[in-house]
Amino acid sequence: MSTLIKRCAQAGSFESGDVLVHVAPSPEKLAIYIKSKVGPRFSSSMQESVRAVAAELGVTAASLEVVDSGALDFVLRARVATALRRAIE
Amino acid sequence: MTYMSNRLRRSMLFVPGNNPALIIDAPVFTPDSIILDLEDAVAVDQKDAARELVVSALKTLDFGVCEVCVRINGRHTPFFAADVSALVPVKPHALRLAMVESAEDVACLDELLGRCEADAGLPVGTVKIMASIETAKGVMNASTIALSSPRLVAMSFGAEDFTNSIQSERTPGGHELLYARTAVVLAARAAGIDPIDTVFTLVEDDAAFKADVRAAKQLGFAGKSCVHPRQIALAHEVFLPTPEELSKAERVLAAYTEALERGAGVVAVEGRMVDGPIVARAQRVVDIANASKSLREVRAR
Repeated sequence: MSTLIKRCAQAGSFESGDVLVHVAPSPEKLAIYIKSKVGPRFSSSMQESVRAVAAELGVTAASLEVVDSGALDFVLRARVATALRRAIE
Repeated sequence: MTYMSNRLRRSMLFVPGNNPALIIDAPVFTPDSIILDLEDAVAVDQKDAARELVVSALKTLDFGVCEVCVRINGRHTPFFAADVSALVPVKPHALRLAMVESAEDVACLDELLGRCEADAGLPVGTVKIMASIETAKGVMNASTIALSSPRLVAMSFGAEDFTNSIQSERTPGGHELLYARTAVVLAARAAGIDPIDTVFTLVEDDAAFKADVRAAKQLGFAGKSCVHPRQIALAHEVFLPTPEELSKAERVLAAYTEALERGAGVVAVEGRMVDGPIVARAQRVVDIANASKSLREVRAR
């Protein structure tokens, strides 16, 4: 069963090495928008990480906007998880 | 993470738990211990984000030979249980519990750790505890706190909250802290765990920091909590035996060993009688020097 996104929420920051993740309800599917200086090279792996965290939390429908300031993968995953949990609770 | 008994804790670097860049950089400065902080360094509305980030970091990053601890929020805060249950599966070496005031505070953490370890399929006792003494009540109960759990490996002193609790303020001389620092050292040493001294917040005053570390060492502390990477090498320098101290300690141990082989009960080195306490002190100096040396060799690889 899919976990419902109840509200808009965000986590992270624009600080170097961090990432800001904004979550909003979306009616149908996961929509992921990534803004990153390394986007051309790493966008697909970042998308993969976002989808993996969403799947762990049972989220199948949400809009996620990711503004990257050079975050490593473990940071991205943590911020996505926090933003989604905040949007779920 | 494997727990190493008798490790050095000369420097314990505080790292804000919600700052990715500082977490990533921390092992580069090679403190003996890293303390990922979920307590004072994190705003109340960011506690969940910091906890998630620290858990993700512990799952992913290689902290090298550094001991990795997490300072969790106090037992009476709404974050305590969530901190513990989230952290245990990723096995930090230890949790540092803030604002410990009684043996019951540690026993409560011990019990919760046991349940979380069982849930995670870990052996009970995997995650150690460090108790942070930061109030007048904590100081008065230090001796029972130090004996409150077999998981306890260190007891630290926090001067900022302590001076608030006695309605005083910190001064450069630190006289207001003398009793409390000594009480923490005696309680920890009597229990066989490491006493760790409070932070020194004037981060650009190296000379004053070194003087503070020297005073801590003289009182019997095993290490210093640090708030800036530049303090790490300075703390190591103070806690490391000088070449003269090491040479003398080695001469004492050699003379004592030779006396034992000859069947002599007492021996003199450089005109001074050497007995049990002096041999023990010499052995400690050599042990610290050896531990520092092996740590340097591991880091140089």
